[in-house]
Amino acid sequence: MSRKGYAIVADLNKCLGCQACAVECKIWWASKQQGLHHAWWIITETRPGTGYPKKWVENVKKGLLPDMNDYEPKFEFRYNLTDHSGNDLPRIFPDPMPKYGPNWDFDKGVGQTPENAWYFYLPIQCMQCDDAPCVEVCPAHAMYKTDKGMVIHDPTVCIGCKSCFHSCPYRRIFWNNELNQPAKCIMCEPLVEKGEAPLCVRVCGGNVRFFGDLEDPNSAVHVFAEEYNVALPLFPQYKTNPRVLYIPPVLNPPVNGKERYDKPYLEEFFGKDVWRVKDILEKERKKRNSKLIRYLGGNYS
Amino acid sequence: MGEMKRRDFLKLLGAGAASASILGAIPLLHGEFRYVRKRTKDMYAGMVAYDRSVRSTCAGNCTQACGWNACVNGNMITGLIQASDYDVYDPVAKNAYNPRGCMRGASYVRYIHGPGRIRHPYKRVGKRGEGKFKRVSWDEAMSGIAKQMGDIIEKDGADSLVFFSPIPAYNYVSAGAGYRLANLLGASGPLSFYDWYCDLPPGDPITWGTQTEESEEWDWTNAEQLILWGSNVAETRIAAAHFVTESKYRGTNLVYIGTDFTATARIADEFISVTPGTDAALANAVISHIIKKELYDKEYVKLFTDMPFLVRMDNGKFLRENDIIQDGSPFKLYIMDENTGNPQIAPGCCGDERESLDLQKFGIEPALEGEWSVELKDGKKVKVKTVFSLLKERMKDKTPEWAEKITGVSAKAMCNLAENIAAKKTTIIGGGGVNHWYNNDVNNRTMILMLALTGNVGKNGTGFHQYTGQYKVWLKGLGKYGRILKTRPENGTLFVWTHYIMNLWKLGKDFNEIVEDVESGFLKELPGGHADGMNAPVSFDLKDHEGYKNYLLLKSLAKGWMPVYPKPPKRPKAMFIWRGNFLNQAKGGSQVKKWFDDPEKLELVTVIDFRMNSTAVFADYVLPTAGWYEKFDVTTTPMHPYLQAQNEVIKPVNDTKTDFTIFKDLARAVNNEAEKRGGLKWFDAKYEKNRDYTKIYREFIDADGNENPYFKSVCREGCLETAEMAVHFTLKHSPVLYPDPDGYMKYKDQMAPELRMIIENMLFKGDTDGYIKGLTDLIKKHPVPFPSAQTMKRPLNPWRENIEQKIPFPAGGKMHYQKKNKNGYEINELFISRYLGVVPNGGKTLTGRQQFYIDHSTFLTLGEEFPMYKEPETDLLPNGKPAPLKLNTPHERWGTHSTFRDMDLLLRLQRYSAFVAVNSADAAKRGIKDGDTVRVYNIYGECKTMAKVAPSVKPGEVWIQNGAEMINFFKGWYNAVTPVRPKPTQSVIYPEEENPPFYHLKYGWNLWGVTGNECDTSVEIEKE
Repeated sequence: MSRKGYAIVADLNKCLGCQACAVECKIWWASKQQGLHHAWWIITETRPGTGYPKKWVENVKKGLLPDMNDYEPKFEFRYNLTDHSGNDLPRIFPDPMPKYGPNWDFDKGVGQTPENAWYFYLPIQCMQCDDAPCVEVCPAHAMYKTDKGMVIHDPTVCIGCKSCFHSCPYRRIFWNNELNQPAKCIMCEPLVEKGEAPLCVRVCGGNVRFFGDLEDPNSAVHVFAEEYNVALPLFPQYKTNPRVLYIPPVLNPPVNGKERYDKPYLEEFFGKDVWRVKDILEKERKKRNSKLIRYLGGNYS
Repeated sequence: MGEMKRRDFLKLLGAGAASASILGAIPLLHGEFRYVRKRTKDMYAGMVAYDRSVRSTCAGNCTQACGWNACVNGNMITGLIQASDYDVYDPVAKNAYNPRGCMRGASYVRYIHGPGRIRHPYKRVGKRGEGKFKRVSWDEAMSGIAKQMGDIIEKDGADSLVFFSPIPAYNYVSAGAGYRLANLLGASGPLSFYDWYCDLPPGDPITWGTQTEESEEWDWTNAEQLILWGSNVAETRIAAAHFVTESKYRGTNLVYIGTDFTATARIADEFISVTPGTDAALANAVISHIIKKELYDKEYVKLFTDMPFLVRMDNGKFLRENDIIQDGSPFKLYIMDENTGNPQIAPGCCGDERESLDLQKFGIEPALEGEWSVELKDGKKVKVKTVFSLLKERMKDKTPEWAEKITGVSAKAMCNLAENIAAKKTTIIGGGGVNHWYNNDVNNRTMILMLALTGNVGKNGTGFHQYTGQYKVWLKGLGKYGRILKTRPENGTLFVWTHYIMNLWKLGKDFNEIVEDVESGFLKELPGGHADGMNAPVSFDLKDHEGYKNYLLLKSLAKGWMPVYPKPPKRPKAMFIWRGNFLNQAKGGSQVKKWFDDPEKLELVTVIDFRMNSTAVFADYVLPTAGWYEKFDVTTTPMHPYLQAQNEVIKPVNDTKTDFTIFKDLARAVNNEAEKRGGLKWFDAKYEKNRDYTKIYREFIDADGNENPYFKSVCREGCLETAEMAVHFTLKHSPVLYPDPDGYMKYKDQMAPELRMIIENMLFKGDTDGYIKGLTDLIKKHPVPFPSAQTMKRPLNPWRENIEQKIPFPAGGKMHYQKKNKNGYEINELFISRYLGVVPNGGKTLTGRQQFYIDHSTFLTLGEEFPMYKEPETDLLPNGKPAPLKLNTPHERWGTHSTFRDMDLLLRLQRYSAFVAVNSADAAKRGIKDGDTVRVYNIYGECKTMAKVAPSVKPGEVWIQNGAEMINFFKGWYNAVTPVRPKPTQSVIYPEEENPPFYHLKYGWNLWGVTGNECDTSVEIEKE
């Protein structure tokens, strides 16, 4: 049966790792509130890699919570370029230099040389889960789900207990220490209300991100998630039923005729369905007039 | 708890939230629940609310020119949202260009109101480069600059003032206003940038006689095979990259040829990782395989390339009419006609006026291969062969097996590539990765050759396209407004080489005398060089490799083939730099920086910018300019055929002024200074004109109304007194905005109704100014496809018309100059927006075809008549040993050249500073770990920065972001280790014989000139 409400699908075969989603969201949302300096509600991780917050995938399994330094160490750029004292040129990098940052590992990947190196990009944000742990655990009903599927935090009733922060297996709830309350992506709910797509979707120059109503047969998300079933949840083992879904990154150039990627790694991230999706994509790519390819391929002449 | 919660919530809501205090009560009753949710929604809605939004265009020199809606609260721009409105006036491409934008464009908000912005004029008070300035008023700054200019003009002449502003196409009038002032002063420049920044693919002019021709990016989806060669589209052309990924989904075979496993390699079907600098070997092997397996398109090659042309075996020159007949033309060349068995003059070649490549029409069947004996006019017999026969001989041993050892790519992959190119409609997108090399001309030429042999040029979905740099000046009116060609346009690379590196002024002689001294053996060493105490050799002797190359360059300068101003023994005294970051981006940085360090050398450095870039740190005056959303201007790009406006969304912030206003004010200040001195005049020998500086303000603003009379009744002082008037003038004199009347009738359905209205009701009724005004009003709202482009088949693809109509390359010779005069405006016979970049007095290549054999004496001497692989150059370490690592300086994701390198949001998403990327194994060998500080050095200089250790980097190579700013390095910067390595083959004029009907290669500002390559640089790195 078809799910209702809105969803976002990101095609990881097209993602460029450019962080336009991260930058746009940071400017429009997280930089408008005090205490959220460390927060990037959406960010694109290079995987395999450390991720943001630092090692969150590994730490979730151990039950460890991120501390503030895992997001971004303290730093200050020195923009005093017109009033500098010293013999040498002014320099703007922070002093001391951070040894970690939100996207520190970009384009690093695994392997030995370019010939066998591998990585993919994973834009990650609040998954707007249908079975959201944060909604379930919130004693004050401050985390709630709209009838269109968004998970929204209501600061007017929040008691600052941090339960949601503890509960999120994706670590996409950011704790605002100054206001003692959580903050997170709400899928641009006010803009969606006005009939606009979320900003991370509108800013995506790579045509990677799709937004729409799962019930609308003409929407790309319906075609991907319902009709062809090629949009997968991240970490399906958490069983939270996310509404942010991914077309897994399986169309890499081969290495000496063999697959480039690390199979267990992809399976851990997207489940065994990865291979089913790979088969569909490869099959449809060879067809003329495939509806799926029309939607993945930009839908213009 | 409840109390604290409430206070914090008020903080979040801001000042207007007092009434929310009643909501602080916890817990809530069920009845109130819905009401509170409503308040929450309002709060979130308030965070992303804005008063109004205005469309404008992002104007970074990434070439993409993306539309954004700037969202304004009060007088601040709080966010940018992609406009995605390319379909509004374009019923043809419709949605293809939506979406369009990237994170760099989105982050520009932080430049407008962020900490890096310069908000006031500054005057230097510390040492150069120390970063100590004091705030001054505009009056103080302007009169101070004008006074110093007056001194320099009196003492050294106005040609000691040098003007530099790159890439006019991203805001025409901002650049043009400064060019115009340079013209009125009689200054030197504007320096060229496209060749200096090595984005000009010299193979384009060498093969086609034109700057750079490319398809619009939408055409990529028509390719059956897309080869991204050294072009990291996924990082550098983020807005265009979806055409790549989408054509892959649609079935295109996507090949990426590069060194590293980049974001682009990741999305490819095939990734060919090549040893840095050996791309031409790979290309030679592909060509060799194509010839061996006879995969070439015989009919295409016979008609559209120089392959059937006859070459003399005794001197390597083309067989010319004057070889055979007394009084014959040196510009008429021969092909062997199989019908008659005699050599025939090739129709449509440089000296042949038939202007057609339709050999059938002339009853000629050219032989592609063969060797014959021909009797010359003196009775001597010489052997001749076709170009193709020669090529076949030369390529014979350049097999895939040969190339495997050089490139590290398997022979099988190369054969496969060759076979795919022959079988599939193939597009090659060339990039900086193969273009920023000393032998870049060879690289481009080999790539074009493999496509031409297989008929892959001149059809949709095919061609060699290189989009590096927003080089294409669609709006030719800029030349008229900025009077560029009537100033002292010059080759940026040789300017730097002559003055900043080689210090030729120290010889106290002019170019001719210097060349004579070299030829006589008197001068063996130039007075400068790239490393301290190591002056460059110069020699008339071919065996002295380095020295002879320097001699060829000097000869080119002496003959005026490449212009440089001021000419030695004069030297530059002042530089005006705007919309650019000259010092940071200068190859040979260690030596160039010395000129900026020393106020004795460069007496006046004026930088006009919206941010404090690394050149501004060295300026005497820093003038704050309006940003991209604070002024009205126009933007174009080679990547898509839309005319777009930059709109004044908000007034220029704080004390800033637009570039236009700054140059207008400066013109007035110089005018005042001249009057204060009781008159200031300088005799300009180049133009034999006595320049009177008490008149330049009036001329700058067109006070007489001769140039732009449309505004005569409404202007206050002059008809070019505002940027809007200058834009009108520029647009009006740009042929690309006028549809071809015949094409219009055929293609008018491709025009939006709004556009048809102004064309039919104004333009076709003779009201050109009204049409331009109407067009201006349209672009203020949404992008407008060039009306002339819209009267063509889209997507646009270069050379399509030449192939379909068998027109000589590039522009059909005389046909190029024929004009129609219909409906009150002039239009070229051929599609006017093509051939924008034809070299001066060009129109045809020497053979009238795509030409791969260049019989110029310099090419023959250096063995470059055919594009054959040559080993990359190397540099030395201070101990005299060759430096082991190639230093690549690729364009990549986090900046557009140096723009955005100081952007806090983007720096946080990388490494907070510049970095050098090293392969894990190379790093381990040197004991370097990720995040360590390392020293990158060679004989020229050094820099210190952070190491980023990654398996995705090619072993044997390290890279630093092209454009990483000095202010982002721990010490020095990447250009401290690069030399300026001009290549003599790029300094020539062709044909060499005097007075050809058309030039194939001739200096043109940013069209043909010596490139400032840097990728051959080699270095060593060590842990600090």
